[in-house]
Amino acid sequence: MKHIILGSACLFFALIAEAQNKVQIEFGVSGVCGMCEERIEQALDVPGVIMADWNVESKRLTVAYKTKKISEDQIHQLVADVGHDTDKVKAKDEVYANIHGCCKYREGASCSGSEGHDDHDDH
Amino acid sequence: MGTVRTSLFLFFILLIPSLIKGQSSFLKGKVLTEEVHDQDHSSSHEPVYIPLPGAYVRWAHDVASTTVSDAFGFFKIRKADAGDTLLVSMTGYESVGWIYGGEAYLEIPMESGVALGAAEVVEQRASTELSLLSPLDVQSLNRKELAKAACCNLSEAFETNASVDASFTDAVTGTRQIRMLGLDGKYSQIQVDNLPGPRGLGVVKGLTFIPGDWVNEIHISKGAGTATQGYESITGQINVALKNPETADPLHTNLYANAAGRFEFNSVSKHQVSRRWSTAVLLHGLTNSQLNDRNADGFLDTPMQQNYVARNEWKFIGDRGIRGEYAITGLQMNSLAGQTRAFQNGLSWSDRFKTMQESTEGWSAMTAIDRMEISAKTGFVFPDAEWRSIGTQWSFYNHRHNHRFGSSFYEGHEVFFRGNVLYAGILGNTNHSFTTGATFLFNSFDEDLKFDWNDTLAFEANVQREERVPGVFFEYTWTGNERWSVIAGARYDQHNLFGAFFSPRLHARWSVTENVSWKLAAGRGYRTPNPFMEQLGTWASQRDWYWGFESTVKPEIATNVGTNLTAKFRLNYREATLTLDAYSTQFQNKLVVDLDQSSQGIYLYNLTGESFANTAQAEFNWDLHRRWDVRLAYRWVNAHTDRIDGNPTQDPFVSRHRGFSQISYGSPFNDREGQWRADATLQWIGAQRLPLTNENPDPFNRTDMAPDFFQLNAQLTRQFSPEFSIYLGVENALNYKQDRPIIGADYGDNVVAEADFNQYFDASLVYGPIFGRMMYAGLRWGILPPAKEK
Repeated sequence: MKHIILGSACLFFALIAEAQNKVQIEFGVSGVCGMCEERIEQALDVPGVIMADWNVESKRLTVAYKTKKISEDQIHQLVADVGHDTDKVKAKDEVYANIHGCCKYREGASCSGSEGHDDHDDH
Repeated sequence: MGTVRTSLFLFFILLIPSLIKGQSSFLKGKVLTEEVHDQDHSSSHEPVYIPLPGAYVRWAHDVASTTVSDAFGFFKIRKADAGDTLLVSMTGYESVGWIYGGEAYLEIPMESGVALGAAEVVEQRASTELSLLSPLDVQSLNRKELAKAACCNLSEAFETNASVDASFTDAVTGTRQIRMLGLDGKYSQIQVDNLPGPRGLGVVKGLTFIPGDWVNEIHISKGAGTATQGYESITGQINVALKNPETADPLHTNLYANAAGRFEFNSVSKHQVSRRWSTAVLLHGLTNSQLNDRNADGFLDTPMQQNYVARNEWKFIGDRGIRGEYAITGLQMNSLAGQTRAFQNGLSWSDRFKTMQESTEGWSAMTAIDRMEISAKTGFVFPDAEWRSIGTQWSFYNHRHNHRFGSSFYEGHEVFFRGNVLYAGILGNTNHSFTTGATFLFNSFDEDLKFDWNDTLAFEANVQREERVPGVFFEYTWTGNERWSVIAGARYDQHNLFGAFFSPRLHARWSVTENVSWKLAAGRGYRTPNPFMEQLGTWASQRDWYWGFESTVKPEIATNVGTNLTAKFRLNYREATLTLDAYSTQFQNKLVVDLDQSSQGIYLYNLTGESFANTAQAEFNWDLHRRWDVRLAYRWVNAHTDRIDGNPTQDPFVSRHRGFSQISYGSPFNDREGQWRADATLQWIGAQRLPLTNENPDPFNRTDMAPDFFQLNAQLTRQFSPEFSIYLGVENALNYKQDRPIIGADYGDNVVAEADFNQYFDASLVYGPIFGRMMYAGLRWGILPPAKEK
């Protein structure tokens, strides 16, 4: 047991020590629904990105990343590459054309709800 | 210009509700979708529509009007002007813009969207979820969590959970029992699909009747449960939601084999029979005929078994809020255990089982269980008021358990019936809701016992009890405020043998901040004991039963109070959850199990003095990395029972300290949604007190405290596609084995004389694994629901 506690303590300190060159940013990304969220967050499944969380209601993407491995511009580009406009980079029309019908934010598709209903019991 | 129009528009919207006062100000309707057929030939038929729950409905001009269709597809929205556009949308479906013509009721069909294969939304939920909003301290384990330990039935499914312990009842039958909040599983109310599950005579063995692959979700609720489901919950409620015609995949199969010679087959299939009816068939088969004696003590380490369980459920979804679930389950379990020399006769399994009904060469045990369950649930939601509903729940089972352990025989027969009628409604508005109803419970027990001490001396007894318990309950839920919610309930049951049972229950939640919630729970529960089945492990010993039988049977009564603090936060930018809880169970009466009075007897008597179990637990879950999850937990338990003659008060087989750590990895999905997954769980089980054996001569005595030990389980899963995966795992990887688990077995230190064996034999003092390291492998193959295509 002692070893586990010690081991996990070491892990925490290692993470804290490493934290200096990490940044968290937030910017707007166009999208509609949970499917878009999946796609946007999946696009940022790359080395250097620690966390990516797109909020379906506010249409804002929060990204934490390591500045030594990836830049803010690259993050915007990665999101645009899967068809979602960001504050800085607009997705190419041919990429946008391929996204799912219910995600066509430029045409005003709307799945206006939030995903926050998971906590309800349904019995 | 634009702003003028908008404000005019707004003006109208604000005006509308007051203008149409007097008539209903709400538009009601139903969202439907075309039923997807498995077979192509049905495409020529007329389309069949089924309700679509969870669709978002709103007026195009007013985001704030958003509402969601309920489980039956119904929605209710404040009326707007004719000509306005109603938007209906749902992930995976084409959004609909419906021009409103002033109707009071609308049916809106939706078409499923273009299939994009991998782009389809996968529910990305943490595999163990703690709800911040429910006032109940409920932990939900989904299929992903259950798949972390492929083995096998419910008693083994808790291996990866920090709140529920699973331990062996004895060293020969391989039966596992659970423990929650420091107390035996009999004090938890285990339900299957919200109906009574393993209880009564099946309280210990019942967990093995539920194969893990049949389970869709498990909800573990610590502390006093809700009042609507009976008086039996003391330490908590475990509700097992099986896969049903709604939640099951069209086909799911599982094969499993382990190094101990156990083979399992599980399958779940479903079929949409008609527009309203669907059915699911669940099958389970288990066989083990390998003779394992790794510790060479002359006893089988694992039992030989043949188990079959089958279940068929029918689900009805009517158009106007009627819904029904009807199920029948049948099972047969046979197992053999004991000294290997009892099995060295070259017989086939069935012949062997027949001959084992009587005593054999050497010590042996046989168990045969037959059980049938029937359940029916019907619910009705008022179409014009979805907050009002009526439900009926009927459940019945007939349970037979026969066994022989050495020369002790037991035949038990239990019949159970319960009818529960529930009515749910609101008081004024939906902030104040209530559930009320009545229950009738019938439960009869008939147990025959026979102990052949020698050729001339035998003891026989018959225990009978018939319980008839009508009861009423009322439960009020207040959700008036985002930060607070309260569930206050009580039930009154009139027991034909034990008089009035009054069980108040209270749950409250306070959201300290958006991410921190604090919960309180308090309640009282009752149960009637059936010690011959609850102390199943004791049969695997030469202990004599000392109990006053019917003359002294009294209900067990306990009060449970607890609190839980859950905080969600980010650690290194990644989501983390910290849960701290503390629970205390105080017994007003208890059937005390005393294994210390004598090493050759089990003494059962009603509590004089006090008995309590206090627990505190800290659990930390961290989404360490996109692909890595970590869970750490620690639990402290103090379980105390006053026993006669100054016998030790600390409850045996309970470790005061327990540590738990788990790490899970999931690789990124490939093009075919293939994935590697790995899970490892390391547990530290602290020292446990063992019943006293110090008056026995060597080598028939053991230490008073069991040593602490580590247990490591690990599993590697290769998912080739969502339809097909294989897994390979190891239980007890550190190969920890309890030292000399069976008193009276020959561990090479001396030859045990028959007289000594007959006096001291005890295989029930089990605190750790018997079998050592065990490898297992299996596969899962199924057919997923058809992809939504246009």
